[in-house]
Amino acid sequence: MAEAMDAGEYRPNIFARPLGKESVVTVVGAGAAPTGPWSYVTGIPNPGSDMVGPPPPYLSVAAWAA
Amino acid sequence: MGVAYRGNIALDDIKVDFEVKPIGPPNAIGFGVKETVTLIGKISEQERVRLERASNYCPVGQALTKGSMQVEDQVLWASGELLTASPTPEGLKALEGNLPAIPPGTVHAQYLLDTKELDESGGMVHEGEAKVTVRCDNLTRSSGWIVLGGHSTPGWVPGPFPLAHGGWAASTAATLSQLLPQTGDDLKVELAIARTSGGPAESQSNAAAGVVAHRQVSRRITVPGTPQDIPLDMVQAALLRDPMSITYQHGGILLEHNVVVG
Repeated sequence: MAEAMDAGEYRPNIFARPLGKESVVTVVGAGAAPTGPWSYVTGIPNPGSDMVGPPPPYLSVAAWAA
Repeated sequence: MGVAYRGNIALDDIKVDFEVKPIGPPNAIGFGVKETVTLIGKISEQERVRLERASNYCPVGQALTKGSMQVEDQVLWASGELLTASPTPEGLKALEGNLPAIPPGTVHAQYLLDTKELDESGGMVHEGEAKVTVRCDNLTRSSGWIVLGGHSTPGWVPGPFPLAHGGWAASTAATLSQLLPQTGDDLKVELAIARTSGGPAESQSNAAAGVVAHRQVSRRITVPGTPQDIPLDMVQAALLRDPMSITYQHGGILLEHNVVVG
């Protein structure tokens, strides 16, 4: 059974929001830190237009490669 | 590179190549990768094996192949209700609906040698950064993008671990935007990642020793409306379709792994 939660200690540092059905904007390192934040646009494959950035899994694979 | 340095392995350079392949139903993770690591330097077979293990047990590799992340999900509705979404109810079926296939492509990382930082006594301060070239099929052409990641004092680029989480957050947002009804631009995914006490040195030590280090992360998904509009189990069922969430929970995207001395 799900329960309501106390949000007092919650400190997110990565945010992602879709822009329509074709892309997602993500901010990494958004919390209080000496460096960052860094923003990325990832693309969602769709029949109407070219993706404006790599699909999201490619961002994670790129991180693995780095 | 950090593991090689701390292990006194004469690694001059390193290149990493991934081939990304779409994987559809019935093994519907969404994608798989073949990895080739090319080590450049005078490296013995024993050292090659050690670096091969390190590449498998780096923090990102652990998250993507060994299910090392312990994820606690929450769903927040625009109406103000906040509920835990972990664990997923046993027997819950994945939400139906069309998700676009992940296109095939490649990922190539080139280590930027001159970004390595040493202190006055020659000790490694930061292992440096890498330039990653991503290429994949697009609607009308093959497209390419550059991503930078690594560790350096100026901090121009993110560390690989938070960057990987960025891909996971983006994947979650993309999947939910396709499957949930009428989310529009009101959908948001947030990750709260606890810092580890040991930092990169501890991560490299774990990688060298082949130790899986479990890490906590909280994921909060904000959806429009009320729990009556978008029920909790609908969100949970949609997450069962997300390629990166499946990968983070269960690992399994590594189809093939080769470490060669070039």
